[in-house]
Amino acid sequence: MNSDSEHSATTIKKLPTGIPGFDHIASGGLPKGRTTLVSGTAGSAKTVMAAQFLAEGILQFDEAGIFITFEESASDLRRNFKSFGWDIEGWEKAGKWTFVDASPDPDMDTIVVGEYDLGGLMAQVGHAIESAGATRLSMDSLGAVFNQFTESANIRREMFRVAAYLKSRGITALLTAERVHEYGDIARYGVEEFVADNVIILRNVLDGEKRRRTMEILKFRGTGHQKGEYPFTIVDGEGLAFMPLSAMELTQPSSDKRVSSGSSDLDEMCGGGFFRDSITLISGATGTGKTLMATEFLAGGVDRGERCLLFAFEESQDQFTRNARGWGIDVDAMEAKGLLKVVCSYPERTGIEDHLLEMRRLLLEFRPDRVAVDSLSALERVSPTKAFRQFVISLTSAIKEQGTAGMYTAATPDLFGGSSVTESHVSTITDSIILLRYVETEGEMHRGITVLKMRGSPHDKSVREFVIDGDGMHIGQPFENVVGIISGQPQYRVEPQRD
Amino acid sequence: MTDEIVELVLYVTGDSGRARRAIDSLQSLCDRQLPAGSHFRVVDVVAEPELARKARILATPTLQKLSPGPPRRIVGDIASMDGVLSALDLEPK
Repeated sequence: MNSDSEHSATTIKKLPTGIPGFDHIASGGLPKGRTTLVSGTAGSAKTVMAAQFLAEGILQFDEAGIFITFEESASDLRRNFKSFGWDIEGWEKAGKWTFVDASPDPDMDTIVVGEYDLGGLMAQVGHAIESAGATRLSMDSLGAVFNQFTESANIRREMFRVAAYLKSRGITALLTAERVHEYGDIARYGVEEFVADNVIILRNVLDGEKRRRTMEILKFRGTGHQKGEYPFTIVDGEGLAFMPLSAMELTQPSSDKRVSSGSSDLDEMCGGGFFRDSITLISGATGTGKTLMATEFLAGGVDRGERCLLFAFEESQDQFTRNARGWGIDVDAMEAKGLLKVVCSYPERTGIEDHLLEMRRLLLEFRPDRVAVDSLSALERVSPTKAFRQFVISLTSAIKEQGTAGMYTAATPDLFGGSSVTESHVSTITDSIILLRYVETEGEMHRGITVLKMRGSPHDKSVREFVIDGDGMHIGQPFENVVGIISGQPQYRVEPQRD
Repeated sequence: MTDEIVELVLYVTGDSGRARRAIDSLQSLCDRQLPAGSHFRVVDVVAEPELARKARILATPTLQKLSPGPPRRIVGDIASMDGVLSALDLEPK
């Protein structure tokens, strides 16, 4: 009979927070009309997330919010959040942001003597809901509530009442709570989990000598979300930015349209060029010609009037321009045409999460037809393994989302043969792999190139010799009578074997 | 000191049993133990949320002493409490 109302009671809608990347991971946003607990250790950016939930609501959706602060005073928060570009004072005047300042008052001695309720708090919240039409609420933090009201049975009951009240008013709320350890009890007081059906954990852990921030949605009762830990970073002037890494994004529609690699010889080896929305990995030892291949790939695009973007982590702009000139490629002219953009960055300059954000931003801004990253190994050097792998997945999906043709380079640590760690992290993600190798024959050093993998296309399986001169790369004949080049242990056959 | 008039504010939520008990307890405290002329005002936070916001009242009942001396607050049911006066830093008359 009441199937309709029952249905609506069990179907929980989502409220988009507007926090970059979060809503994707949360399959649409926070459970609407519910309270979500955000738990984390000291310094895990709980308060920033609580404030950003309101700030993005105002900026993107024109939704008014209430911020209840039990810890820092309202005036401290107004000042602190200016660095994110949030004009809280202006929003307060416009009736979009209401502070309920419940921070400890240093001038007031308060003694708790007996039974009480949080009627004052609820009256203030109720007033803000009525007068401002607020639909979002953040409370920071539960730990501070418990510090102010030490009689724990009483305050527990009252927190349940507050949560029930917010639910009855249809408020989507975000509640922060402290936890002692990064992995372990959700929060310190053991009550918070019952207050909220929905729990998010923010972590700030040391991983390979780097600080790494992650977010995990532990539960959203009755509604979906992505599982696992997702990295995030705090961006100056913006706030938190989360990085969705869902595997779904990697299954992009595949195009069978080919683009030239920039070298007709290589196009031939690849069975007619690279696929439009594919990523090609160039792996080889130092000096084998990886940067040259990336440069020719981009120059080939510019020749066809395509927009090309290079992320260079190995060289400065001047070095790159000079080297390219040595191969007969005029970088300045391509940049002057507005078709080539070279972004040189020092890998150690910032964390890998921030590199990723910057790269995603440039991809969106420049909208390239081709993009090359030279090299991934330089970035791998400066990041923990897990973070690097997530970086590659996320960058790859960002490139593929736009149907851009991509090329990554990776350096192998050994001069002969071998594979790089980078390669093993990247090889399953990239569509094509091309190996560049040094080959020593009869006392001379040669360069060899082979197409190891070319997803969805036949390709040349031989190892061909190539030379680099003032005109760039020239691919020649397959090496005769040499086996074991790829493994780095060439053996020379004196005479051709008979079949 | 002991003869100084005491000014108090009692913050309560609506017309609840707890609110009425708090008002009754405070009335009898005023009548019996405080100097003549001492008085208190009752603020219903539901009716006057702006006053609650200005005074930063979270819990009810909250009894606030305005004068004499430094401001003091007692949160909770004072009926069950013996040392209300000392908690407010006052002496009985």
